[in-house]
Amino acid sequence: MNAKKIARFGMLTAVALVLGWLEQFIPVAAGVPGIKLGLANTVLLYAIYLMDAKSAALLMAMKVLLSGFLFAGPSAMLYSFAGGVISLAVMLLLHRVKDMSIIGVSVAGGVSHNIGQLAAAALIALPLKAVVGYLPWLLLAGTVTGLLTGVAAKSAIKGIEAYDTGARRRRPAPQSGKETPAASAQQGVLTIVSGEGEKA
Amino acid sequence: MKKKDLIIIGAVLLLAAAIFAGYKIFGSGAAGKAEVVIYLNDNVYRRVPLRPETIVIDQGNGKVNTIEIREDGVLMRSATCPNQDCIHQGEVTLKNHTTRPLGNWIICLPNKVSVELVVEGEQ
Repeated sequence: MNAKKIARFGMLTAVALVLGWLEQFIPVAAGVPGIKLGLANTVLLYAIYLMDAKSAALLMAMKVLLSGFLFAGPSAMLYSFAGGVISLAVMLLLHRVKDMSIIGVSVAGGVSHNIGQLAAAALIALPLKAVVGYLPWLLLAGTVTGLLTGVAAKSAIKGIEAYDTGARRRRPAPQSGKETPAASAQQGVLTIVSGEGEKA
Repeated sequence: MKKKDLIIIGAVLLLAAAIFAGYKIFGSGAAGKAEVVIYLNDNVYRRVPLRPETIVIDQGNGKVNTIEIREDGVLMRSATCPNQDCIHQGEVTLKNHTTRPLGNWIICLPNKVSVELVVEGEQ
């Protein structure tokens, strides 16, 4: 792993963590366990579409571990991990499907995340009847939140690609006046990202 | 939005509706009066008729849940869990159990205590 890659991973992990943390201030359904916006999934979608499966898996694991230690606690971490593994697998499979956009992939990811979470909860703490009664609500919630994060990820990726095209055109004269270390690092990151995107 | 996006969304919503309907129809098949069923871990811990009563479940390891049963519903009065989700879930009543997000359930995941309001006849 070279320095650029490490920098990019650090940035993406931080973005995922902050999005996950911010979410607690946007109550979707107060008190209902397992239902949240899933904004951090936009980062995973970004990784799936513009990086590769390995990077996406690493990001997911980092996000679950760190936000588990920082905010959620060990038992919630277990549920998120179950949800994260299943939803990542589903999204990686579906993003290759033709005629399906990032929005459908995001919906499938949100829904399968909720299924994974609930399956873990069923194994650990819940009577089967409660699981069956709860599942329709989680499916519905996963669809709605998946749609929202899918739309967000779509416009974010579009924006990043547009910015990057602009950055590449500007590159012959990179020493513009506003060049700060942060700005140059970011530009470097975005350049790599689009390069891999084109290959895919 | 492409064609298969809509197919995925439609399929998930259909599945949700089917499970919801199945749960309503085949639910618990309670023949008797409305009652409250309390689960600890995933086993039935107690069945209580629906009349005012306070039930304290002390698991002896610092996990304590206080369940308050009323004339027409049940709620979690207090719980020693960190997230207090079950308190925020509010009361399940004979009237609101079809429209609440958790249906006829109150779930305290950390303490592994679940409460089900079984409605007479309907379930």
